[in-house]
Amino acid sequence: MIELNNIRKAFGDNQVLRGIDFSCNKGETVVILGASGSGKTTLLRCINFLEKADAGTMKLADSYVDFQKAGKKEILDIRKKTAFVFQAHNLFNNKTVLENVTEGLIIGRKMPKTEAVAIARQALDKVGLSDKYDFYPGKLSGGQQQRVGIARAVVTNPEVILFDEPTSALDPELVGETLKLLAGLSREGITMIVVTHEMAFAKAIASKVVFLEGGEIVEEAPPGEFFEAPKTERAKKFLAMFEYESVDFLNS
Amino acid sequence: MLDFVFAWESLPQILRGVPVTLLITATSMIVAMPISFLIALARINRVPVVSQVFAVYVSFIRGTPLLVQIYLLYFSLPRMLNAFFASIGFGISLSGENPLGYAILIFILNTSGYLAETFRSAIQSVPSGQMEAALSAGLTTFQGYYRVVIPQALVVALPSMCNTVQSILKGTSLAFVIGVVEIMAEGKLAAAYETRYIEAYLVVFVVYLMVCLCIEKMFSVLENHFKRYKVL
Repeated sequence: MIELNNIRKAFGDNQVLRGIDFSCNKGETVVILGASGSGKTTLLRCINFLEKADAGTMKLADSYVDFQKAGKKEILDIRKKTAFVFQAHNLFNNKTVLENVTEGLIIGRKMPKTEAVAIARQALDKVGLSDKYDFYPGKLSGGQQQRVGIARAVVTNPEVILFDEPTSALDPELVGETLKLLAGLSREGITMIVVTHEMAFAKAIASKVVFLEGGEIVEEAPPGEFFEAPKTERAKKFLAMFEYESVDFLNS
Repeated sequence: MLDFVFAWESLPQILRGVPVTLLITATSMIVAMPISFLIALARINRVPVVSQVFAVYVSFIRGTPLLVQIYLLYFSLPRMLNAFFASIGFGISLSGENPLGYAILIFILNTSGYLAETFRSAIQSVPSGQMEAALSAGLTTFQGYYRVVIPQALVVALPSMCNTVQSILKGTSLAFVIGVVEIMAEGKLAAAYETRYIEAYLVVFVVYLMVCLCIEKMFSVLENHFKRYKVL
């Protein structure tokens, strides 16, 4: 469904991705774990061409791109087959909730307005925002903004939705509502690639965990295997750090 | 003693200059806005050559007095154009017969220089995530600017745009030096009848003030309207 081959990306002298090979089947929820600076977000952004990878190829449904040679048309094609949910929500501040969701349909995909509005309303109802159609993003809580972000991603019916730390910018009490929504999407069979630090979520929802360090995939396993019996030292260390942190947090 | 009767009687004549002043102001603002956005985008995206040319242009406009710009352009542009037309064998001969046209041209050029800087900082104040979200929603870069970034930048730019409009409006008082009959010129003419300069200029003063206050009010209404766009 989506297949990445040898993705490389450097920012100046800093090699952020050192040849990533990775695939994800239709309907899977792949969770990407790794310490900050390991390249998780960059990988996600490369798939959506928010960063241009230096090398590598990608197969996505019936499209194939070589990152080195990708032109405007191919980039737009890939972007229309993917959707991105941002850590900072990035809702269009000059547009209402409803307009935020219809924008990609009406402008990006030339859908007639009435049809787009009907689809958008349905998606907003599903994320529990039926009373907020005409609100501007500035008037919503972080959790509500993120749900609009998710509705905006879902309506375009993409091959895959990319989530970049969707809960990191939220207040703790708002994390739950967003994770519940993601779990629902996962159960519906929407293909998702999720970068997150929510270990419990990864354990419960992931079909596959990909552990990244230093711009390389160190370990790739089903969540049960990865969390209970990690094969590599580096993964063990990473998981231990999280346990240590949570204990530390409880004691403080 | 001030002659208030004279002042009152000269008011209608001075008011006749208002439409000309507003015409120059509005036309230069409307034409300069898209030009300024192009300059600003070229500079932000560091388009080679174009960006440097615009940087020099902006420095020229901002670094020289408006009066000098008016004189230079009004007296040298027709000659340069005539020489150019002659060199390509065209029989057109321009003269300074249409001072209003020249005034508008000069103010368009001048305003573009100032607005370009206003728009540049306003566009840069819009978080980069806005454009990223537009791109990932399947919009083109152009659509992203046009539909998401520029509308937000305009809201940020409103207070400085109010400044710009007011300085063009006041700047148009210099256009009388090339023979445009706007508020200032009407005031001079009115004063000349009875050599009552103080009264006439006081009226001119009040008329400018009133027009500027109206503009200020207009912008504050606009700012209020667009407040809802702002992130709280």
